[in-house]
Amino acid sequence: MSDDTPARRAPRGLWIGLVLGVPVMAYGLNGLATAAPTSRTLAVGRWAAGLLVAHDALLVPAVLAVAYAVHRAAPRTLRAPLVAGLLGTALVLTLAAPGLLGLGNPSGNPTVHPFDATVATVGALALVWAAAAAWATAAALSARRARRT
Amino acid sequence: MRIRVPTPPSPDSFRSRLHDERTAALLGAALGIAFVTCFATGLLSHVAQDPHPWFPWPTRPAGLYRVTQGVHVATGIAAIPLLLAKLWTVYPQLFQRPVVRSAAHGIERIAIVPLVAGSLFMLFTGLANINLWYPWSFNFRVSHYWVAWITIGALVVHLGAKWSTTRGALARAHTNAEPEPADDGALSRRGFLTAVAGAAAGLTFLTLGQTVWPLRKLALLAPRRPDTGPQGFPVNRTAEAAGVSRAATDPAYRLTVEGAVRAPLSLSLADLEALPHHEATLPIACVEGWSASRTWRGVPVRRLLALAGAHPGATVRVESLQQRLSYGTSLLTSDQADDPDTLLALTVEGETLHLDHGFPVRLVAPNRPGVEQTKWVTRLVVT
Repeated sequence: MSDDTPARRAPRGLWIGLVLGVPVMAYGLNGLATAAPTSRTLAVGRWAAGLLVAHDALLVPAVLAVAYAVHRAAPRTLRAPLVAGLLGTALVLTLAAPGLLGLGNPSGNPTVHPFDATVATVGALALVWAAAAAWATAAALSARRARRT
Repeated sequence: MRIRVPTPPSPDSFRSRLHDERTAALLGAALGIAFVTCFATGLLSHVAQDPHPWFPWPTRPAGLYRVTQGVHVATGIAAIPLLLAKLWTVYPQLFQRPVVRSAAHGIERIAIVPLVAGSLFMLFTGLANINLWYPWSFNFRVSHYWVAWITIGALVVHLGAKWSTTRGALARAHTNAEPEPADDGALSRRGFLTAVAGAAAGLTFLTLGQTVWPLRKLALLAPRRPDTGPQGFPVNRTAEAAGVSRAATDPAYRLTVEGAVRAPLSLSLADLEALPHHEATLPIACVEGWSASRTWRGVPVRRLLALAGAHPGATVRVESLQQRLSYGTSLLTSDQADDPDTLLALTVEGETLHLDHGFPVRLVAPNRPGVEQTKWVTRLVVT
């Protein structure tokens, strides 16, 4: 946050937040520590920390790199829909990954992912790219109209 | 040769207009609503599985849990793009210099760690759980529940710290004081927010069919389809996985009613079939977010309790043939045991129960989580 007036006023809100929020956090920490053996509580901490590091050190830099590449390589009117389509693709693949990779369901329950995950994922991606194409078309038409006027 | 040492990035290194306070405030408000909704519905799910004396889980409306847990999972899925977009927007603040400007600033920054780590943990573990994927050594339900408290506490701290900044940014959004910069082809703020809202709505639309029947054919990203499985609906644990196939199909099967009763019962499947039956249309609503409503027929639990001479207001422990895994027993409160629609079901949609759906007898009661609708029931212990 920038050093503007609201930021300088923040401490009062921060103290209120601390008074209300820290006991709730402490309740959760105590519950986690007492509900499971220490090794499992530590495993929760390792997973949370690992996800944080993976997000900040891997995921965001990768998105930055892709966005930068699109900005450099794609025509101006295609940049926004292309970035949106790529991010939509990443989200779809995130949700579809367990089905695509056969993760989980160790007992082979046939009602988990009971369909062809590849076909379902391609269908979802088709919707994403149809929306991106509609966006790109609208942007191109808008740019053409702007040039004419 | 001169070696050029790269300088670490600073917030000014990120020139996109999407890293501003207004975008962060709008996304933060949406994410806050999503997280509070998830937290509230998650608490309800917890109470539904472990009823507290001070918060008795009601038996009506019969589909309440189906709604609250459906909302819980759908909101969690919708929160994935919201969280990633919010973190993207504020990512440059990670490189603030100096790292700590004051004690208050330091506390505020430290409080962000459990908030972000907890948020990522909650959404990742929730997403894995609906796919029955457990790549960790800890108990999902225990950790998901307690980390939710830690995360919501950290959210309260963050809300306090950012309250005035967020209010100011949202107020500026109303007055629309800042014009959009010149078009360079990059995502505008409006385009970015529209894309994020579209992503949240799209993911919801492509998964909600696992609980909203008319959308079932569109559930391309949902791990379950409510119309797919033995007898036309899913199961969470098969008889083979539970290791009960032989015991459940044994002709010597008996259902016993014992504990605080005057006349303990021991009934064969034929005995149960000969008793007067009751029919009820009730949902199986799973904690993983899928649900399916079916018409069940069987013996009301309260009829069995009356036959056994149980006292009014009795509670019941329902025991399954499967005891080596979790959820081998469940508890019926007195209200649940006395409800006319609480059945030991023998049939579904007019057919004998499939082995994976709990043959010979399963519990079905109104407004219960699916894991509490005990399958392969063999004993009722009255207390």
